Parts: sequence; C-alpha cells; structure tokens
Amino acid sequence: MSAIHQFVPVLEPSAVGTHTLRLQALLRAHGIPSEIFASVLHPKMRNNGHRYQEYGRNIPASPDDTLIYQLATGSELVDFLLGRPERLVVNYHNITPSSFFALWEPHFASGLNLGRKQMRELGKRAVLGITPSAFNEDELHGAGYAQTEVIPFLFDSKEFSVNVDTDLLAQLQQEKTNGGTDILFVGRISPNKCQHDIIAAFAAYRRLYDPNARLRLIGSSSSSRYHEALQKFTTSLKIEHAITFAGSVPQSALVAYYETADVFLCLSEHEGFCVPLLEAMHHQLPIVAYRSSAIPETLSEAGLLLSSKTPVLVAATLDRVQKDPSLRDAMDTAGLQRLRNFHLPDIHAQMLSALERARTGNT
Amino acid sequence: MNKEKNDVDRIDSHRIMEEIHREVQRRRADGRIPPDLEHEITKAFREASPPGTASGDIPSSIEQLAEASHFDLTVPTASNLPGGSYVKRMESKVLRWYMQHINAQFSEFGSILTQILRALDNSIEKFGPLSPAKILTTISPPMPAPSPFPFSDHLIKAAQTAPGRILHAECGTGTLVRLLADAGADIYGVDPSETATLEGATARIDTRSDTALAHLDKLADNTLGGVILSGSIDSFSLPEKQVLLEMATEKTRDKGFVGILGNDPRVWERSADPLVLDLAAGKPLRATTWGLLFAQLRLTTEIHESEIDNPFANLGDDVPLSLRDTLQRFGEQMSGPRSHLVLGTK
Repeated sequence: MSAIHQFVPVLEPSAVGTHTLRLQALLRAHGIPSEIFASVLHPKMRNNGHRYQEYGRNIPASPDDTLIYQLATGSELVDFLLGRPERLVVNYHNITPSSFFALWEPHFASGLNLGRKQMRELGKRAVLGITPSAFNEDELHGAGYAQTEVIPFLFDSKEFSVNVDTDLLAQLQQEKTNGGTDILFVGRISPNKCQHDIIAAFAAYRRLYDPNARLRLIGSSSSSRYHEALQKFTTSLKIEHAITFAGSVPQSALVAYYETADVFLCLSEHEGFCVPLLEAMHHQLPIVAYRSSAIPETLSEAGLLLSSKTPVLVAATLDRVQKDPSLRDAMDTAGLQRLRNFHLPDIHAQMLSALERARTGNT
Repeated sequence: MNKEKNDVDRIDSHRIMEEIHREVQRRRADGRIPPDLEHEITKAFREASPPGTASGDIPSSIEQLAEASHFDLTVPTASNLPGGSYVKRMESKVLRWYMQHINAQFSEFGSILTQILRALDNSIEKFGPLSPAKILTTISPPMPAPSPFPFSDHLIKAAQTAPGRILHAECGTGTLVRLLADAGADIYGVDPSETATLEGATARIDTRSDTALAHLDKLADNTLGGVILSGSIDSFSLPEKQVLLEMATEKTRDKGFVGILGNDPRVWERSADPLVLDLAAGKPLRATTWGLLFAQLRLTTEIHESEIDNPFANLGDDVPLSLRDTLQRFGEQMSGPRSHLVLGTK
C-alpha cells in the first residue's frame, strides 16, 4: 500500500504537533504506512519523527506516496516539498497575520510572512487543502486552492482522562477555600491571543465585582517582549499576586487547572480553530469569548460571545456568568452538546475519506 | 457534522448580552464604575509595553533601532563539555574578523536608517500636519459646536442599534453624551478641555480629557459601535479631517456608524472675522462634501440638515410686505442650513 507521510516544520508538543501524531496513529491503525518528517524535532518528540532530508534517502520515497504538509508558519521544508513529484496535501492550521508580531517580534513576523507566501506557492501544487474551519477555508480559497475540505481538529477527550496532578489540584482547591472566582485561559502567550485584554478585564472584574478573583494563564510564550510587558502590566495594576503565568504544563496539570476553574475567558483576535474551547466544553466550563476569526464558528452557541472587549463589559459578563446558576447550567449543557459535533470517530472517517480521494485523484 | 448535531440547546445570548450592557450603563450612571477606570488600565499597559509596541512612541522606537543595529561580538564561551570552552574561544577568535566586517556594514546601515527616521520625525514635528492642537493655537476661527438637538432622533436611532460602545469626540461638557446615555446608549466622550470633562464627570457621565486624534490612536481597530465627531473638527485642515475620519472608520465595527455634527460653512463665513477667514487652516465643509468623503470610505451615508439660516427671516413690519417677501425668498436661496449631521454606516 502506498504511504501517506506528514511533513511539519517543527515537531513539538503543541496543537499542530499533537494533531500530527494523532493523524499518524489513525493512518497506521488503518494499515497505511506513515512517517513524520520535520525540520526541527523537539527533544521530547525525537523518537516520533525524522529529519526531512531522510525522506528518499534512509526512508524510501515512492511516486505513489501522498505527502501531507502541516502548514502553520514559514519553513525551508516547503522548498524541499515543492521540488518533489509526490501528491501533496496541505493541512492548513492558520498562519497568524504578521501584523500582530511586527512591533513585538519583527524576526518572527518575517517567518509568518514567508508562511503566507509559501501558502500560495503550495496552493499551485496541492491536490487538496484540509483545514479545521470555514474561516481558514476562506483563506485557502483566497490563496488559490481549488479543492478544499473543512475537517475539524482531531480532538480526543480521552486524553483528559489522565491522572490529575494531585498536588497541584490540592493547592488550587486550597486557594479556592479563600473565596474568589478562578478565571482560566489556555493558549500561547502571544500578541494575537491578547492576554493583555484578559488582564485588563480581570483587573476591572476584581475592582468592580470580586476582589478575591484569580486568573490562570496557561501556555508557553511566543514573544518574550510581550510576556515581559504583561508581567509589568500586572505589577503596575498591583494584581500580580492574583495572576498565575503557568507556562507550558503537562496534561495532568492542565486537567487540574480546568477542574478548578469557574469560567474560561478567551479574548483572542486571531484563531484558526481554538482547541482550548473544546477542552473547556469537555470540562463543562462556561465560556466567554470575543467574537473574532474562527471563534464564533468553533464555539457556535455554546458560550457568550462578546462584540467588544471593553474591560468593564467583559467584567460584567464574567460576573453575570458567575452569579447566574441557571445560565451556567445552560452553558454547561450547550458546551457538551456542541462537543458532540467533534466526535472523534466521525472526524476520523471524514479525514480518511478525504485522504483516500486525494490519493486516488478523486478530489 | 450533521444538522441534528448542530442543534445545540440555545442560550438566549442576545438577550443576556443586552441585559449585561444595560447593567454596565446603570453602573456607569450611578457612579459604581469610576469614569476613568478603563483609561487607567489601558494607560498601565501602554506604559508597561516596550517603546514602539503598544505605546506608539516614535522617538523611543528610533532610539531602540539605533541600539539594536550594533551587535555585541563577545559571544558566550562557557561549556559543559570538556574542552568545549576552549573550542568556542578559538572559533570566536577565528571568526572575529569576519563578524566585525559584517557588523560594521550592518551598523552603518542602521545608522543611516536611524538618521533618515530622525529627519522624518523632525519634519513631521516641524510641520505638525496631524496635530489639531497646533492648528488651534495658530488661527482658531470661532466655531461654536452645533447643537445636537435638531438631530436627536437620528442620533438616538443610530446609537440604539450600534454594535458596541459609542465615542463622542470633542464632547465638550457632555450634553450629547448625556442625551444618548439617557436614551439607553452605551456612550462615553473625550474632549481636550479638562474643565469640560471634569464637569461631565461630576454629572456622572463618562467623559475623559483627550483629543479626538490621540484617543482614537490608542484604540484597536473595530472596537467601537460608533463615533461622533463634532466641535473643532470644523476648524481642522482638509487632510486632518480626512485622517480623523479614516481613523474613526477603522475603529468602528461593521454595521457601526460614524457621524459628523458640523456647522454649515456659509454660517461661519457670515459670522467670522475676515482675517480669520483668510488665515484659518481649515473651515467647515458642506454636508454634501462630507458625504463625498464618507463615500470614499465606502460608508453608506445619510445627510440631515437643520433649518435654513435665513438672514431675512425676521424682518420687521416696517419693511413693506412685498419687499419682505422678496428678501425672504432671496435669503432662502442664498443661505444654507445652520448645521448638519452626516451619518455613515460601515
């Protein structure tokens, strides 16, 4: 059987990395040979993939192979792929517009610009563009992709059935005994995710409604300058003791944060899908989110969507969610119902069918 | 995804968000939300951000560029491996001449770029084309803000359907802010005069001390439900008017509105000193001219004008009736309305 291999700029513990590993597991479970190739292999994932130069050298290449490129940023890997004869499928996760980074991390912005340029180049060669949201699909069409399909992210709720980090859970529960709402956001510390707006709203919430509230920001940093500015911001507002910048955490710790949170707050201005919304739904957390990019599509009607990020308005919305039990119940139920749209076996079937069509030329 | 599965139990989010908006308005009105709370928070983030990021401070950014365009060639040579430190030191010595050559070129490039930017910044400072404050200190024609009352129905209608907060730039003591807040709109105002905004804040409406241009510059795009511009915008030069209008449009969300509450130029020309008429940097525009500028920004425009400002409207009985009638008709043809409201929907 011909192989379906994946190429990814960096294989690391991230949403794209996790998706890539899950797709490989799916393909292999159906007897399809599948390897992962990357420019950079994170030390924790060194055994999960190969350097891309090995394709066609140590690992045989065949003209019947299908190559899936996981596109989320610019990479030298694209030149390699464009020079190859195999069928090419682009799995587009979204490229953050460089304007978000231009002033904070100009070097990173140039990588994103390269990614957009490469997206158009790949569109000339790709037989299919797969992407998790209609918002992204519009971008693919704009970049000249003739054949596209929306297939949601491979979200596996079973991954949250791990043993929770009991020490952390006990610590977070202990903090709750002092009262106060726990507000959570999960996502890289990044200008497009707008943690500064979350902190601004949180400051207003503490001032106007709940002086004991706490904010947990989970996620590694994409911009050290932005991260430092956020920390200075919290200090100048004198709320640094109430905010946790937890960084990247293991799954067992993530479960502890989700289990002790009262509300999930997302004020991001650019998301291609936003997996943490599904995680919050899975943990029956009420979601308050800013209406931007793919967020309304992923959230649908399972949360409260804000049209403005005015700190006072966000604070009032958090207060309403926190103090209205019937609304919380309705949001919990709506979240679980929404989650059924991302039932993994259905998405597996959709993904396999799309790849089969790409492989046989029936896109 | 099948249709059945999409049928999520509906949360009446529209109603809930309306209730939350009203709650915010009540709290603003009764003083439970301090008028300057959001301003304080936003300012704190600007101050915490590096120059050139959230602050938009051009001179600091240029200095930062100047500093960043020189590399430090002293590379770290520590190593955990035996002999590693020695190898790194040798490598740095061997490559030093090469790196110095590259560094010299890059520093020169950075230096030239910095000089160009400084010169550009100085030019902008000298001409000050975008500084309303500067224009006003040179020749400021007497330009009383037109009364909003002739247009209150149109303004209330626009405000009630606005998809977010409304900003009234150059709000004075906040007459219009109060009018629209009383009608249920979520609105705040800014004005360059601290006394005026203090008066507004005392009356428990959200008014802040800032110029229209500086305040709009601090906001992210697509954040407001509407922007109303009035007051000294009439005295801005045409490029300033255009910049302000473009900024207001950028900051307004889709389906939001931009409104110009302005004086008619003919009223101003009849009332202002000839010297001011000649030397003023800017003058009021006719409503139709604003309409043209709105159309260039692809705004769907509607124009409302106040009653005709007829100088012969109140002639006494001592003027013969036939002459009075002729003059009044002549006056109607020669005069224009006193003020106008131009509303553009995005």
